[in-house]
Amino acid sequence: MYIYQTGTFLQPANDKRTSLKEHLKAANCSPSLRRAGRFNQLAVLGAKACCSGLDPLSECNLIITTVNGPIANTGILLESVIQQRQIPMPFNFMNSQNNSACFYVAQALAIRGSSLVCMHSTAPIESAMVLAKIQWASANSRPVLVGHVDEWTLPSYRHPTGYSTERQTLSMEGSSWFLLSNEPMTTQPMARVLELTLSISADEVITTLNQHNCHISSVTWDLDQASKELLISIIKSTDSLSINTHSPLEGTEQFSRRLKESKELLYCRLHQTSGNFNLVLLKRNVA
Amino acid sequence: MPVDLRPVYINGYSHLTALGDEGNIAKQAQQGIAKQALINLEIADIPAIHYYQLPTANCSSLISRAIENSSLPKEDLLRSHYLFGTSSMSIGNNEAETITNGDISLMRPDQEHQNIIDDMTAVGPIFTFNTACTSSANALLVAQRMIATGIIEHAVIIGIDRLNKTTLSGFSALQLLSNKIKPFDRARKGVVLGDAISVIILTTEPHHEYHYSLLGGANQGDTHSPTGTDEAGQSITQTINEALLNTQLAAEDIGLIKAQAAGSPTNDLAEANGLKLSFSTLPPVTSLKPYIGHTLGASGCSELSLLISCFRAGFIPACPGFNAFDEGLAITPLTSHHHIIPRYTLLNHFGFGGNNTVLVLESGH
Repeated sequence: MYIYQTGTFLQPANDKRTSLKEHLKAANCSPSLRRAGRFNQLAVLGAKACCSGLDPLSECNLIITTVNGPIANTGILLESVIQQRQIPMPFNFMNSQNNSACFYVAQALAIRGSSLVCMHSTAPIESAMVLAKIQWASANSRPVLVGHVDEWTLPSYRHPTGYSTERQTLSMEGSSWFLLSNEPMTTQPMARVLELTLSISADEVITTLNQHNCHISSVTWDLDQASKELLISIIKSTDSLSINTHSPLEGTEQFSRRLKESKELLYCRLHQTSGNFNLVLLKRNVA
Repeated sequence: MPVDLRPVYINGYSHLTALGDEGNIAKQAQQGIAKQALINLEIADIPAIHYYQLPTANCSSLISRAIENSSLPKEDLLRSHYLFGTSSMSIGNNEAETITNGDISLMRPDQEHQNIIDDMTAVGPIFTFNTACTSSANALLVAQRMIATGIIEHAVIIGIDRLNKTTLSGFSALQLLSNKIKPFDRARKGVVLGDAISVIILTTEPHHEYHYSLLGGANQGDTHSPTGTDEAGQSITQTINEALLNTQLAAEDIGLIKAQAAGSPTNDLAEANGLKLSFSTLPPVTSLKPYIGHTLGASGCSELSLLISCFRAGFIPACPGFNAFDEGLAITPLTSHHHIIPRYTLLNHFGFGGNNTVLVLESGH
């Protein structure tokens, strides 16, 4: 698996939910996107940023991943249906389906291929990359455009304790995208994915890293606290460890940014969920 | 097309819709369709809505039942991958919380699934697919591919969609509802929605009592319209053709088409056109939605489990609700039950946002 391009549209989350109209105009988006809902607009803006400067992709599969989906739009629907007992606006209802974002992204980029939305609360981008790998192994070898999209909610909305803490942890909204392929494209890849593994044990993490001769000094890490503690206990060094304690969307954006900016040849993203680890190991600047 | 893929079998399932459960649903389908309820939403001017309703249902117990019905060890399945397919996600809970508390309440959309898995003391990874009416069909396809390519050994796929005011009022706003499902019929006017929870267990070994293999399929996006697929059928025929290519079958191999056929005027037209582009001679066509309603994101699992139950009982269910031939569609679905089970069945699922998924089932070989 190769990463050919990344792109992001992120903006600070704010309760005013400033219109994205100017951004859409600047990105030459269709005026019809005005009715598409904020989640879908955020998806299109990030996807366009990712594909900017590339030859148009006609055949390309699309995978969108999200933690919360169009959650603010869902709130708007509840206001209408439950609080006001009004029939919802058809477009608000349509936009409550996550895969509306696939529709608008595919339309904006004029791409044809499969489209899938997978929600994963802890490892959204890794899950989507796994799904891309599965498509190549079992169906077709089209490039896959993978995007993580999340939107900010409204201040009056309540997130029941124990269910969700989006407003406490999400400080950005937007989308972050990766163009993946397992076959050569016309441009140089940014990185090759050496390992992509979900739900493995600590021992398997170490075995995997050893197989690639990953010495701590040669790797740039993105870690959550639990992963950091694991590695500290094994490696007895904290010199090269950085911690990502942000929301999943910011983690995805950081992943994309590190890929562009880091000077290390190897880049490892590791984090822990339910006692197991998700690992992505990349080799950068590969031909 | 990759060649060295492992076979993937259905090794357990459970089903709960207004028609019945996996224990009696084939018998019920032989006798007729489920009884509809009339739901009054008490929202603006929306009239009472016909609906195939479940009185009560517990998703954890449905999953447990599928696990018990499987010939795989329970302890293995509790560590399996759990793939949910749903269009409504947590909206029913959000509605209830909002009514109780007065404030708009929003839980993380897949939190309900985590709670279900926690209740069962299962520990496997959870994926939630939300592609409208194709949600659990896509979950099945992804699970089939994960197993076929050796990434996992087994998976539990759950299709779930329950009554909620948001979905019913949204369909009403789009003027898609009717009081009777009439697939491919000249007088078709729209869909009747329904509740469903259905669970399918996939693995590399067939069940010791039956032999059904999910061969694979295909998914295609369609940018024709946010609400429906291209009426000329181009996108549908592409999806069907890719599903045949991926499963190394020819159109002539298909012995039955389980159509999407929800009774929607435009989407039935699109499907009819797509089928005619892919098949020079159409095999028998049926629709299961008249029996249980359109169960939205759950339909991938609920219709597959209903079909298998009927196959095991020795018949292909007819397509109730079809009376008047529509020359514009030129499709006559089965008007009586057939008793020769085909080797290969195509299962069509098409949804909002231009999401088209086709699965291929191999029976009893």
